[in-house]
Amino acid sequence: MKRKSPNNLDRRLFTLKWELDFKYFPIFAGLGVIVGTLLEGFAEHNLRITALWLLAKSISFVGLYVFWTAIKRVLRVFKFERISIWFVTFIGALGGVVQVVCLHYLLILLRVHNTILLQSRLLGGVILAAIWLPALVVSSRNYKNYSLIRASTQRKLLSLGEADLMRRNLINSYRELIEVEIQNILLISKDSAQRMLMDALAQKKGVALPAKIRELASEHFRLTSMKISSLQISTTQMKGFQPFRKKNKLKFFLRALIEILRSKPLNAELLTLVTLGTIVLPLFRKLDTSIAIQVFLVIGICIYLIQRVFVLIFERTGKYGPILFALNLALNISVPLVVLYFLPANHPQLAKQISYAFCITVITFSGQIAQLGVASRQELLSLEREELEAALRESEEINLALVKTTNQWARYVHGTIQAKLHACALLLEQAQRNGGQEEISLAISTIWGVIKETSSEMSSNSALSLEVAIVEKSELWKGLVDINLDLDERLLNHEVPNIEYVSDAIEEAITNSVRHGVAQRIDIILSTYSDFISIKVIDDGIGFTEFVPGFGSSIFNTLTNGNWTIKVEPESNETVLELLF
Amino acid sequence: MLILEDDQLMLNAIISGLKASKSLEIEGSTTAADAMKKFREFNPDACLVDIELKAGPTGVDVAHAMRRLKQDIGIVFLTSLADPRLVDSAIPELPEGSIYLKKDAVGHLDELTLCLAVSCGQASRSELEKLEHINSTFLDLSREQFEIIRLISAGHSNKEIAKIKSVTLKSAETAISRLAKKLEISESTNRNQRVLIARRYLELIGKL
Repeated sequence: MKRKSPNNLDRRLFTLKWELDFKYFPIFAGLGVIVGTLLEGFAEHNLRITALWLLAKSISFVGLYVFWTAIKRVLRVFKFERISIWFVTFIGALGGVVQVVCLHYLLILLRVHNTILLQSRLLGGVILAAIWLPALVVSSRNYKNYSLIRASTQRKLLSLGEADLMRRNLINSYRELIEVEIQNILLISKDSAQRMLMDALAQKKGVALPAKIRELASEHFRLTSMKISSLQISTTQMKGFQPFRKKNKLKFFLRALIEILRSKPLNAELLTLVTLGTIVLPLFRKLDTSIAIQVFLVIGICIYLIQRVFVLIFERTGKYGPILFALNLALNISVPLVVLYFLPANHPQLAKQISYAFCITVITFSGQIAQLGVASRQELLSLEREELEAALRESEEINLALVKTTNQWARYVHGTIQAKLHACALLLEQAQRNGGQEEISLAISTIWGVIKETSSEMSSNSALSLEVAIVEKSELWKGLVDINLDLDERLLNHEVPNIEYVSDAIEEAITNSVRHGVAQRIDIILSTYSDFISIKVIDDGIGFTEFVPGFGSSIFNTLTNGNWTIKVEPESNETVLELLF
Repeated sequence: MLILEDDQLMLNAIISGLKASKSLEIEGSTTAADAMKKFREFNPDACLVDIELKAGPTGVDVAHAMRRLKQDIGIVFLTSLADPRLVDSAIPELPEGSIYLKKDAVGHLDELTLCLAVSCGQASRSELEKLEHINSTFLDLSREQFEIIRLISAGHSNKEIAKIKSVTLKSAETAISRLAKKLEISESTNRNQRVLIARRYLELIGKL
């Protein structure tokens, strides 16, 4: 099976994100503006202005798209993930402003001497830029998900490779170990006995693994395959990104739309902003400023409050999404209509304002679709994030269990088997000394039985707790150094995987403090820190000027996976070693 | 006098032997913590210390701790180790003026008594010249080599040794073959070099 490299996946994830955030939004907004402009143009009864205006809008949107594509490319080339989202937002807002200014001068260039139209467009542009800002801020959350997914993907693929390798090497390791142990016994035994044993072994065509090893091996295999399957599952989950492929775009649009109707009926703040903009222009243009401000405030606040009520209803009940959405839309269209109707304006002006309000509503609606599209995608991502995190956690647990079984069988082979083989060697030597051929043959068959037999004994995992690991080790140094323990009682009986490492690490830390630091007093503090268990070993020794890694660092690394620090406190001159695991 | 020896039988044998030949006040301990407790209680003039204790600090650590508390205490190490670094490559230097005796070189308990007397200044250092046969020289191995010989004997593979030492597998292999050369273990086709190194280690620590 051909695997995708992490880099390709990375690139793909990033491209998809940018496609969504910076391509769909202008397309939606552009569509809305074009429809609105057409309506507006018809209301003006001036085809020339309509056509020119449409042309100007189209050019500006194409320009905007080119601008974003260029920015996207530049950011991608220059380590995009390190660029702050605020920078991207700033660029977005800048794009909006540039578009408005360009449009303004474009219209003048096209000799469209309609001041009202210019002013309307100017305001429309500002509003558009204002829509960009919150939309970008919302989408910024995606960046966090993105980096997490990227990290998990890389790790997952690496682990997958490791697991494969482990599986391949496992049987060989067992065999090699047994062979080494057999070589040991052959070496220790006398020549003739050795020959006979070798012959005997050759006849038996290999050595059967003892039951305990077989059991451990199968557990190891089970864990390895679990890990592989869990990783494969989450790799499959990565295919969840496919809806954003070209052929699935329509599916995504529909999904975004359904998402809006189902779960996100409103984006009250955004709509309010646009509605206020819609209302403010006719007010300032036709009315006395003070009245305009009052009407503006009252209407704006009313719409905002009604929308908040809609939002609250939806949040509390989780129902009526489509109805609330429709009501909101109606409100957005009808309020400007009503306001305009009561304003002292002539009919063409009224028609123009209606079309303009409609246009802005369409813009808002499309902006909202794009923004909620982002939000729905974010939800998709966060779903996957939970699954990925779960898969990673599971894989961590399996890793620990793997290490444990590996340690168990290694201990078994090095301890039990080795002891048995040495006993066999002694038996052979004794038989050799006694001389008889029969006795040697008997010894060899006994040995064969020993090697082959099902072995149940195993060096047991002594039931160490954190308390025992720390207290026992401290007791050994009593009298040589004053050791004070400050142990969080909740953790004392806490089950810690690979507790023997904790024990070794404590011993190494004390030894280092006494030998290198010539410490008189050592404080050992056991506590929790976030999701970690922390063991601090503080001594009053002479400290160090330059840390030299040694056997101790290797033990600490094994225990904490690199999560340990050692430093000399400048104020108290104490040496503080902290292990987090 | 204080004796620290982790083997109870050996400890009893030494105490009764020394008590029989001289009327000495002798206290014995089998653990470092107990030895330090008795040291504080009895304030001995000299201490006979075994280096390899079962767990925790070594005899050398105990000797240093005693020296810090009493600078003129005489220290005599009685051990089966050919070199103290065999038990721990990071073991501290022996305290100044201490006497190092290998168990198999000591023929008679009088020699032990003499060494103890010399260590605490009750007899002249020149007396030791009579006991030439008990003088031992330490091994000419580097700290790394002591560590590697211990790791091999503990059953670690080359790969594991490389990981523990944070070196490449190749460097570990080179270090092992250099160690074998230094221990005068030749590469032989029908002998496992690692087993020979482990056997040599057992010999050097007096367990083979």
